[in-house]
Amino acid sequence: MTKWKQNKEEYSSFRDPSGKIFFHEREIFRGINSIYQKDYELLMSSGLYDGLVKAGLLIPHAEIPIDEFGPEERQNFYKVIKPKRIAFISYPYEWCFGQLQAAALATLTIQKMAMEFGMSLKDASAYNIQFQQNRPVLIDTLSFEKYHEGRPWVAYRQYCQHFLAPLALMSHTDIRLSQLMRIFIDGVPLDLASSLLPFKTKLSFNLLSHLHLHAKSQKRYADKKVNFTTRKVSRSALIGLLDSLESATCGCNWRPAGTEWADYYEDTNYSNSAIELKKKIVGEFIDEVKPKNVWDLGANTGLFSEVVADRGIPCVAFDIDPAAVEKNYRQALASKKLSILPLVLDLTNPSPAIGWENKERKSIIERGPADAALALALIHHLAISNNLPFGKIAEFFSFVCRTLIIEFVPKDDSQVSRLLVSREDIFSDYNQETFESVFGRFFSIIKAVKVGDSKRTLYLMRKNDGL
Amino acid sequence: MRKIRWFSPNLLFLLLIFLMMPKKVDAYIDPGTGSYVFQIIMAAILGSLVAIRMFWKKIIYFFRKVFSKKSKNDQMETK
Repeated sequence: MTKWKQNKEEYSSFRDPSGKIFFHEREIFRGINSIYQKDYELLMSSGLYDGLVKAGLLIPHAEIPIDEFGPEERQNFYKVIKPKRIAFISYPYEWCFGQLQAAALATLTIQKMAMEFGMSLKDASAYNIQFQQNRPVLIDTLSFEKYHEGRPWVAYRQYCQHFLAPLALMSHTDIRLSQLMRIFIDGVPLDLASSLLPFKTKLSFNLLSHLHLHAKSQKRYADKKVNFTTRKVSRSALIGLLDSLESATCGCNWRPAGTEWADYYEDTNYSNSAIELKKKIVGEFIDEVKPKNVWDLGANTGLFSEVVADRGIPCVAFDIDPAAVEKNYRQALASKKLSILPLVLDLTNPSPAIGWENKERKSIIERGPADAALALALIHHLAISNNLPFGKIAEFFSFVCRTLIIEFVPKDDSQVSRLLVSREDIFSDYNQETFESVFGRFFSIIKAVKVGDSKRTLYLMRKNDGL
Repeated sequence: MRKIRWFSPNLLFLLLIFLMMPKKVDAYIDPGTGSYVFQIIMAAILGSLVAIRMFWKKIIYFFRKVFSKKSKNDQMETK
């Protein structure tokens, strides 16, 4: 049994007593324990499953006859289901404000719908939500239990810590505080959120209650014996509570502007024709490679991710700036380019593996490699601003993709001159020849095209075999 | 949801309760109990606010009916 677990089980699944995610011949399955049988059957028969799937809120699945599996599965599970696979797994500390808010509201909508069908969510963890076609969807099918009128919502604390606290902090204190989700594996502790939020948040009934007073209550009653059986929360009171949480969640707002990169395309001296030409060249490279998926590194507002998306190829668009990612997210939704998934990522300090044994949530490299990666107008930021040698950059790219479309920006380009204005020029190796030779250790250069009148060059490179 | 003034009697009462009983225990020991208790209090408040709102609507409706009857009687008298 231990050996099976080590080989096949999805590690983060260990906390769930209702079932386990496992892999079988590179496909993902969820085994359901017999302890969960009644709730699962209620989920399917009550109409809740159909309602949620139709609304695009729950990941659909197919039931697989248990005979198709080996004796271990037959021994452990009463049933096996095959959920639809999520194209790219992302985590709440990688989401922009809009995505976290959408995930929060989806959770509340799911809970309200569940109650209509006589069920309730057992947990409101942000890790139960993934983005499919840039929309939030619940992936933990076994998160539902029968609703017993009178019982309070067991997931209330988790909702406040995973969703409401980080949203309030991002909205009222600093947008970068979403990174607290990386440090605290079960959401932001409410006493920490309460101490970081400005005083004005205590003037709002919803935030005062669900965050500040809630935090005080946690401290007050910690380790105290409370008689659980005599308390009652009626159905309408619980609906009122959910409405209040929804109001608090919607009340958090954030406008993407004023950060370093938010207005990049307005500030630079990119002419329209230069951008169009670059888009054309990138498009031709993509058409030649025909990748199954693309990572756009340093995507900013997704100008070039659109080139990928227009060809129907799923694209994950990473950028360090939360404002740029937020703009990308809103534009992608508005223009219905749903195959773009914008995420916040600092390439010089990308998402690590965290959680128990550092295995519950995967690092960014573990979630790759991508078929192709775009590294446009990026190399000078890594090499000069961040003092990374070409060799290290090339090696990292070889970990995350099989084909690389990269733009070399020479020292006499205006953007690079800007970086060197207040910095000693110790970058004697920063030139095109060294770039080509160092990258040549990891990649084979298939094409090199000068971008019109600018001094920049676009490369199409393929990772060397045997790496 | 209708905006609630922060100095409403419910809230002051709640604040008073919490302020009067300070206790320094780290929440990581057991955040569940506090959340559980708090949710019950919040749900009771919110549930009663909904009930009060329904009650006020009934009162206002009642008065509207009374006043509209009065004005109808006035109109009939002047005619």
